[in-house]
Order: sequence, then structure tokens, then C-alpha cells
Amino acid sequence: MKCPHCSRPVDHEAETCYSCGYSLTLAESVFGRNFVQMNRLHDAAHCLRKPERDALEDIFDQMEMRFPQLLFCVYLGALNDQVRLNELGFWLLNHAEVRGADFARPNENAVLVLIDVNTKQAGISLGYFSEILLPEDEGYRCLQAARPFLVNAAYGQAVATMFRKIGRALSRRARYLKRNPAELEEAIKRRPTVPSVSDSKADDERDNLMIVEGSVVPGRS
Amino acid sequence: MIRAFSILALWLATSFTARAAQIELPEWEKSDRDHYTLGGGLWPTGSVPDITDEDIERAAQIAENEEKAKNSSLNGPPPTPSSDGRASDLVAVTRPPSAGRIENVSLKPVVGLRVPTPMLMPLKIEEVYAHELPPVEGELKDQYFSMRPDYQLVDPQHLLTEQKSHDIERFLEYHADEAKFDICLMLFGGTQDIPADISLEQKQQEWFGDQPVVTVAYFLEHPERTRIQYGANVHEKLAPAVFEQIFQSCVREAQVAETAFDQVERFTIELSIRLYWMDKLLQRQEAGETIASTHEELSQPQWQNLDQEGGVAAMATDTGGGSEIASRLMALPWLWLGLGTMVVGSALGGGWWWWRRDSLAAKPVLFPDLEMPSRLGGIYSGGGYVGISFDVSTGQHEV
Repeated sequence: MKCPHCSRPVDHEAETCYSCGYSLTLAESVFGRNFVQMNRLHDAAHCLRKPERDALEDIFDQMEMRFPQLLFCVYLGALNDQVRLNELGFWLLNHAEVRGADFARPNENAVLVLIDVNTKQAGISLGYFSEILLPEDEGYRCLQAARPFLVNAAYGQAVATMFRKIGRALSRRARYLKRNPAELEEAIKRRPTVPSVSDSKADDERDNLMIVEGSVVPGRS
Repeated sequence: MIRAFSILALWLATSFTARAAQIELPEWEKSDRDHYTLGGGLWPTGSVPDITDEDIERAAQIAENEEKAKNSSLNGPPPTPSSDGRASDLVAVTRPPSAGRIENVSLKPVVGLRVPTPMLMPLKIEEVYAHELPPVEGELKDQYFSMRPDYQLVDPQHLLTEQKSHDIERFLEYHADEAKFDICLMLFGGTQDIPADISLEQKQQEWFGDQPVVTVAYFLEHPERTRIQYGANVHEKLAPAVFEQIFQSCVREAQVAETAFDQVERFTIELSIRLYWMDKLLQRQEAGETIASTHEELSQPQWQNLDQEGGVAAMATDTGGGSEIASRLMALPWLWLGLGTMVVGSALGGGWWWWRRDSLAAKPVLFPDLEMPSRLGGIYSGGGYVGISFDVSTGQHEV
């Protein structure tokens, strides 16, 4: 788990980023406090044609049939340079309501694919539940599979490929969890924890490590 | 009780009423007949004959007579063959005009079975090829004896079928490759004979000299008349009992088969085995061993089991015939093809199953529900993100 703003690791229960102090409040100051509605295939950049949209809708239907708990959606936008795609994803998952999504699929279970056709960025934002199911490396592989199409501006095909890959990765994950039911709990426990500022014991350990390395500890006499 | 009684009464009443009921049919009067024409006016009035009651009675009488005649013919003698019959098929049989027509009454064609003509005294299979063959003289004699045979099987009259001839030829070639003594098999008809002026021994000497070749004159259907001619050097080395035993065992083996063609095949196979056995005898003799010279001694296991020492005779014994060798050879590619198909099919099926299990069309997947803590103030997401850049000019990097 990384901070959407500075990409530094974040404790899984941290209220703000330790490094930059980023939180949803800061994201709301940029994108707004209001809640918005979006389609599950939200083409704000208008780069998809009708056949592509139809094909993607079919894929979404199949995905929703296959994974009844998960929410799949796409945001294609033409953003400016000041907007970071991961911040937008963070904000969208907390402020957007996907039209037609039932209560069994909260945003917590969402897999949101974001593509910025201006800055040539693509990413996958995940809710709390879906980030346990789709590890970073799997998500990266899904994006890599779609990269050739993205480079050629075949966004419809890219999104289709990406979701097919995501579907296969989730299927594999489901099969693995079926064989190892305790793995999910262990995965949650394994999440990285950044030591708290008030944790004096951890500070001491860190200071000792730095002294051994011969560095000067700033702010310590 | 009352209900049962009333039901019984109702049933009786309805049954009697039903039995008494009759369908009211129209009754034709004499005057009405003039208004309605037979055929409904579809045909010209003159083409359809008027049928009177007498005509109908006559037609019924004729039909009854025909039925009787038909029943009586079933118990009578079998029909005599009149024409070529085919398998029984359903056909429309029209009576001849004179038989079925009485005055102005024409009977409709009836549907019946065309009975196939029985084949009387069918020819036996043997008789098909046991026709009279010409004596071996003139050109035919030259075909047999004028020149040294080029092939192991000499059958200028084509007495064998093509398949059987091919099988035996292949077997003789195989025998020639594997064994020391080749076989030159000359086929004659059962009624034929070797010309009096021809000496098989002389021909053997003339054609093959001291080569290890055995000339066989085989008479179809009569294996006991077969003449096996060995080379002079072989004759000198072995006792006559050895040759007699070879001949007897070959004839005995041939007579097991029912058809003349199979007899030739079995004779050839047995001769192949026995020649291998004879070769072993000669080898032992050359090694200085004394070979048995009587039937009793040769029947002992130490002499009889010689043919099982090597691989050639064993293979010849196992195969049981040229056709079996051919069939085994033919079966091998099919076996491999079948196995290959099975392996490829299994691989494809496994691949399909492997692909299908993770596809979107598979059955729904349910994950266990979990209560997750929030971070960075987000209710639904804590900023979990993975991304790439697809800008070719700046290069790709992971966020």
C-alpha cells in the first residue's frame, strides 16, 4: 500500500500519510467534496466507438456474472497534467456511485480501471476488499498485457484485454483461496505496517541501526 | 350404498343405450343413383363403367377365390423359378387385363410383395475354380519350365486370388531374406500334372545347381500330390527320412485348412519352418554330430525342437501366415495413429479444460466476506493502485 500522492508506503490503518500527510481530505480539496455518479463504462474522453462500447459491456456482464461480489468499472478521461491518476482513482472510489451497481457490490469491492489519454497513463484503483484479491504484481501484469493496445490508442481493445486478464487473475486467486482458506486472513496480517511516530521502541531500533551505519541522526543529540 | 347402486344403474343404462345406438347412414334410392356419377365427375362419364350389384358380387367372389388359391399355394410345392428375383420389395402389382377384368368391372391395382425367386442348388465355392484346366503342354508348359523362374511363386495360370497370391509372395520373399534355403513354389491345378518329359529333379539342377533352393510343385486342392525337389548336395547329406518327415508335416498342416488357397498358405509356412529345421540339421551334421536317420529318432524332442532355437522359425511360427504378417504390419500404423489421436485429443481436452476453468464463462466465484480497516480517511478505498505509463516518448514506468 502506497500513498496516492507521494507513493511512499502507508500503514494499513494510517489516517494520513506519514511522509506527506496526504489523506482523503486533501483529495477532496482538489476534486471536491460532493458525491458523483459514473457509469460502469465511463468514457469522459469519448475515445470509444459504439462497437467497442458494446463489446466492453458484454465483458462487464460476464465479469459480474463470474464475480457476483465485485464491481468493475472504467474511467477514460482526458486529464490535465496537474491531476494524478492514482489520486483521482482514490477519490472516485470514495465519492463516486456507479450507476446500476447493486448493494452486493460496494465500492469497497471495486476494480476501477483508469486511463488518461492525455498523459498516457493507465492504472487500476482498488477498494479495500479487491486489493486483497488482486495483488500489485497481478495488476501490473494485467496492465502490461494491455500496453500494446494502449500504445496504439486502441483503448477499447486495451480495456477488454485488461479485464480478461483481471478475470483470470481473480479466478486463480479464488482457486487458491479455496484450497487455502486461511490464506486471506494471513494476507491481511502480512500487510506492511509503518512504525508509528510515538513508538519509542521502534525509534530506538532505527536509531541503533543508523548509528551502526555511522550516519548522523538529525535532531538527536 | 345408495351411491353405489345409483352408479351401477347409471352404468347399465348408458351401456345399453350405447349398444342400442346406431349410426344413421343415408339410404340410396334408385332415383338418386342417376344424379350422382361414379368418380364425382372428375372423369368423363363414359370412361367410368357403371357398376351394378351383380358386378360387385362377382368381384367379391373373384377376390374370395384368389384368397383361397393363395392360401393353398402356401402349403403346396415351392414355386418354380421364372425370372431373376431380387430382394422382396413392396411394389404395386397390376393384374393382367384378362385375369382381373370381368366384363366391365376393372379391379384396382393391389399392393403386394414381390417374392424373390429361390436359387435352386447353389454352386459350391469349390466348384467355382475347380473347372477343367488345360493340360500342361505347349505354351503353358513353356511358361512353367522353359526358363528359370524369376520369382519365388510361379503361377502363370493365376490359380490363386490376387490377395492370396500377394500374401504368399510376400511370405516367400520374407523367407528368402531370413532363411538359408529359398523356396520356388510352382502352382498347378488339381487336375493337371507335370508333363512326362519334364523331370523336376533335372530342372532343379538346371536352374539352381548347388544353390540352396527347394523347388516345390504344388497341386491345388491336392497337397498330397506335392513334389518337393531338393538340391543334389542336400540329398546326399541327409537321410530320406528327413525329407519324408518334411513332406508329411507340410501335407498334414495343409490339410488342416478348408479352402484350397489356405492350404497353399499353410503348406508354405510349414515348409518354411521345416527348411529352417533342416538347415539346423545340416549345421549339426557339419559340426560333426550324427543326424538321426529314421522317423522314430527324428520324432524325439532333441531333433524336433531345433526349429525353436532361432528367431526366424519362431517368428514364422508366431505369425502363422503371410496374411497375418501383412495384417500385423498394416495394424501397426493404425495403432500408432490411434494412440497419437488419443494423446492429441487428451492434450486438447486438457488444454480446453485448463483454459475454460479460468474463463469468464465459468461458474460464479464467491469470495469470503471480510471486514477491512480504513486508511487515509477513505471509506471504500485507501488508495490501492497500480499503474503504468504508455507514453512511448518518455518510456514506461510503474507508479
